Amino acid sequence: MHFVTKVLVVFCAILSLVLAALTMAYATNADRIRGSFEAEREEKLSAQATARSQIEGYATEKAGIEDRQRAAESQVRDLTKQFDAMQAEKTELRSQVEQAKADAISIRNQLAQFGATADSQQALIKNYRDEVTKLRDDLVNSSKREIELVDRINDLSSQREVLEQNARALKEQLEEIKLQTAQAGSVGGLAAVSATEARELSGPLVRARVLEVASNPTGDLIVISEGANRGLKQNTIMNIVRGNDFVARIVLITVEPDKSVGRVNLYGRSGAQVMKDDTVLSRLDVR
Amino acid sequence: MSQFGMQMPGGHMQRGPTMNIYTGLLALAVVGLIAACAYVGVQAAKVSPAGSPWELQTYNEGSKSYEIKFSPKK
Repeated sequence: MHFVTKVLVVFCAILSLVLAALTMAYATNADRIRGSFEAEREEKLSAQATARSQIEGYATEKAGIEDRQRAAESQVRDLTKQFDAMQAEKTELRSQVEQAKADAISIRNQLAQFGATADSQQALIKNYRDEVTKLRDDLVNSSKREIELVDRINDLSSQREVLEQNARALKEQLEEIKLQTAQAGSVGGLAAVSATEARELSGPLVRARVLEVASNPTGDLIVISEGANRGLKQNTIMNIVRGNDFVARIVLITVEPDKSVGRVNLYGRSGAQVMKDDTVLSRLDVR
Repeated sequence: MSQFGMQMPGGHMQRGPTMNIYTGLLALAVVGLIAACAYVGVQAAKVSPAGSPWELQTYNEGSKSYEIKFSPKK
């Protein structure tokens, strides 16, 4: 056998072994891969079946979810409307809050003003109180002084009355002395008659008021508000006027210190009548 | 004695072995085996887990199945 043939035989043997080994490895891997492939395919089919069942479940669940979604959407719309309404209400409430804050600020300012006003009024009241206290003290002092002055006036009035009484007595004495002097001048009983005649009062004007009117069978008698303190005497003629009109003439028949009684002479005027509060004058030339 | 290279009288002249038709067939077989080995090796490397044609797919006891791995494509 040729050497080449032998070599070829050896190569053939080795290559055969190598090919057998490679073939076995290849076949083994191929078988395992096929088995895995079959298992994967079965698993795939089962997964597809499971997926289909799940898809069906998901479809029903999807329909339920869609229903719930529609309900939720309607609820969302309702909530959106409520939200808008609440937003509007919130805006209104916010404006009300701002208004309330502004009112609170204004009220606070007014309170501050009232406080300042109260303080100023308190100060004014204090000043008024002090002033009233001072005025009351002054009034008390004035009252005391008035009382003192009234007392003084009363004293002086009593002194004046005494002096007037003295003066009137002196005047009467003087008149009596004059009458006696006239009688001594041989005029005799004629002068006595003139002493009892009615006459007007000389000197300053005396103004009085009719206090009372009394009817009497011998004629009307009236009471006037002045008497001997003003120098009036018996048989003094006084004139009664009402406004600018002459009413009557009276002759005093009784004279007291502060009032007098006179007999009325109307001079035959039937319509004339003396009334209370008519004015009584000692003469008519001075009005 | 011929096996010792001695030529005996009346014997034929000893010749060396020559290639014959079987040598050629063997050569063809060798070429075919080489081609087959190359092809099967390439295909076995494709289905092997790490690219070597001799390696086998391993069995996972946890999943009770083979862990099918392939070598990344070049």
